[in-house]
Amino acid sequence: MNAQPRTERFSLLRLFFVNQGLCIFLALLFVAFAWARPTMIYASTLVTILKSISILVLMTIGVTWIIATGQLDISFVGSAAVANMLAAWLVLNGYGWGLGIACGLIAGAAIGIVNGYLIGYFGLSSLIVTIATGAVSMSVAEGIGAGASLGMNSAGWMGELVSATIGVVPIIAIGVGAACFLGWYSQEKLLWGHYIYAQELNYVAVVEAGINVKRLNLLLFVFSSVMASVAGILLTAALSSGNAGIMWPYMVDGLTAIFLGSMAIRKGQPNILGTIVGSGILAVLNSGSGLMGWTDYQQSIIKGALLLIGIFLLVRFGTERVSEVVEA
Amino acid sequence: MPGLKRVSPLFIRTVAYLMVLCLIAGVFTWFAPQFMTAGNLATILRHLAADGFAALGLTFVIVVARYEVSFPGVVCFVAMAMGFLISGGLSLPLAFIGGVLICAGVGAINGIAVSYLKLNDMVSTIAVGSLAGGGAFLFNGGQSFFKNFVSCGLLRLNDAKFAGINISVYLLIGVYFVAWLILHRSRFGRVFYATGENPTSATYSGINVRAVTFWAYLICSVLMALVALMLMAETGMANVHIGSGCMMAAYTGVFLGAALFGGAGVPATFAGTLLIAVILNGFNLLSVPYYWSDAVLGVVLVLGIVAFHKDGVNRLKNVFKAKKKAQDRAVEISDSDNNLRLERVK
Repeated sequence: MNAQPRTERFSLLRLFFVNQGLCIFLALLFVAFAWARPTMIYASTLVTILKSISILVLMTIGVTWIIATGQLDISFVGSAAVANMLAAWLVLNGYGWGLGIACGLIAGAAIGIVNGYLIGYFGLSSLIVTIATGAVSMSVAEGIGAGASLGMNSAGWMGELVSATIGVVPIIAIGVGAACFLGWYSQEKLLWGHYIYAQELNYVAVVEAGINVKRLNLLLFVFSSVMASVAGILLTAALSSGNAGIMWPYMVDGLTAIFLGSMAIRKGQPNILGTIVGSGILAVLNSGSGLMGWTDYQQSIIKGALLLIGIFLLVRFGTERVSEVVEA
Repeated sequence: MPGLKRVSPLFIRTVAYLMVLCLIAGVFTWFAPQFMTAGNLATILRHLAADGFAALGLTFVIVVARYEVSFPGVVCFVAMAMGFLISGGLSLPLAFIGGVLICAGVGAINGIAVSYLKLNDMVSTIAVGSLAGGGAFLFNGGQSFFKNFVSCGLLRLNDAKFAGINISVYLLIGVYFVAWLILHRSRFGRVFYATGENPTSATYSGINVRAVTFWAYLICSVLMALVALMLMAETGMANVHIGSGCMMAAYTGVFLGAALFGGAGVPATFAGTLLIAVILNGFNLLSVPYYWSDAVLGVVLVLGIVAFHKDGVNRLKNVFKAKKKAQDRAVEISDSDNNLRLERVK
């Protein structure tokens, strides 16, 4: 947009702001909440924040890559809901966590396969397909509980696993962190990570180069859906209940985290590190506003305003690419 | 095939659509005989109104190849705003004008954000929807409005009939007709299609792409005032969650219509929305629990798109022979806009 930066120093400053702006914002947000409510830095709050970051990252890690290919996946909430309810139902009926987890993951994979085939091989628009599969899986999830939630007396060993911590770091956060590292490594260093970003630039060129894009897309959709179902199962264990309705907020939070994150680190391209930072902002915002006693609608207004101001500032001060984030 | 007179594909699609509609109606009548009664058909048309307006608004945004997810929040907000005005003693037309102005304001924010500030359409409409949905709570602290709703004549919109048909149906058809004139029979409307098809070409053809995108969002939001009005007339009150159901219905209506008739447009959206209304009503009569309705819509959407796809049979073969296909030399790439075929040399 701007032809020439005025001075070298200004340009460097701008680059720093754009690259690190989101991390700085996350830090400022945390400090502001901690200043207003000192309970923010209590160990229990930190554990809660790390846990909610982990779950949000699991929900969005696959979607991040799908959006990076220039497509969209909004069925991840449905996958999480189905896995959540299926695991809860199986555990409640005495089949145990082993089968509950297995069936939840299989259900997630099945949704991903349907998405991947319809989008990758049949060539339908990803938004339409995932709207449809998301709606179907959300309905199935509610159908499992016949429209109600499934409460459990105790979440068994999974409940203990989810609540286990080392210091202030929950065990699941360590697992998610390791998964993120692998994801970041394959995205940045491995060949197929480049295919993801190449596809967004020019689909035909990637096909011409001899890459099996259809299979890559199938794998991405399955990955996204399975990761979301892992998050769904973890939520079953964490809350010791199956509840399809609690997944809805993850839709807006997840997409917000991805799009906010796409403005950091790899400018204009959704990426894993960015998604983690974005998830951090939302988790801090959720926990902080809970401590402040803000109601849901106040949070909704604040989140909306932050998102709008955030992308406005980043597009104003960002590089040219930022303005064209995924013309999905 | 030059020289050979062929049946227009639109005619085939229309006949196929009517056959599907009749088939579905037949199946429902078989299982629930009360489906084919005059009373039930009137109910279908009455329920069509709110979803129909929402889908019509969304059509304009889809035609310029953008997304809009703020409208459920906008419907909640404007319903509460109109409820506030009516409860405060304002007459129905004045309250409606107020609602339209509010919607125009929200639409202008969306439009400016997406077209002039070049913000991502998904993010900015999520943000605006979140703001509007939260803002709906501000009017009455989350409580519903119903004072003066009967005396101001709002409920008559839902109940009053002319020649046996609800007046909301006439309103719906009238607005659809005007939208059809605008989008399909005017220069102003064709510009929307040009923008959606290829913004760069449209710009070089002398079209102000930004202004067109802005208008699409504005029109979409203004129609949400009508959605809110219809929902309020139907339920007899305004609450903060009144619009939350219209997202799925509107997207399914637009995309199903686009699949059935080979492209998004006003008649296509009407056909899609009508089909959905019929199906939902039928399942309702069969007393299928409410939470299955979204599943029904999702399945209908995918089936409709696959069945009415112009290249559907070949692509289905693709799906089922995926593994074998991977080894084939020819790879078919299809762009959603233009079917582009390339030969890949091994």
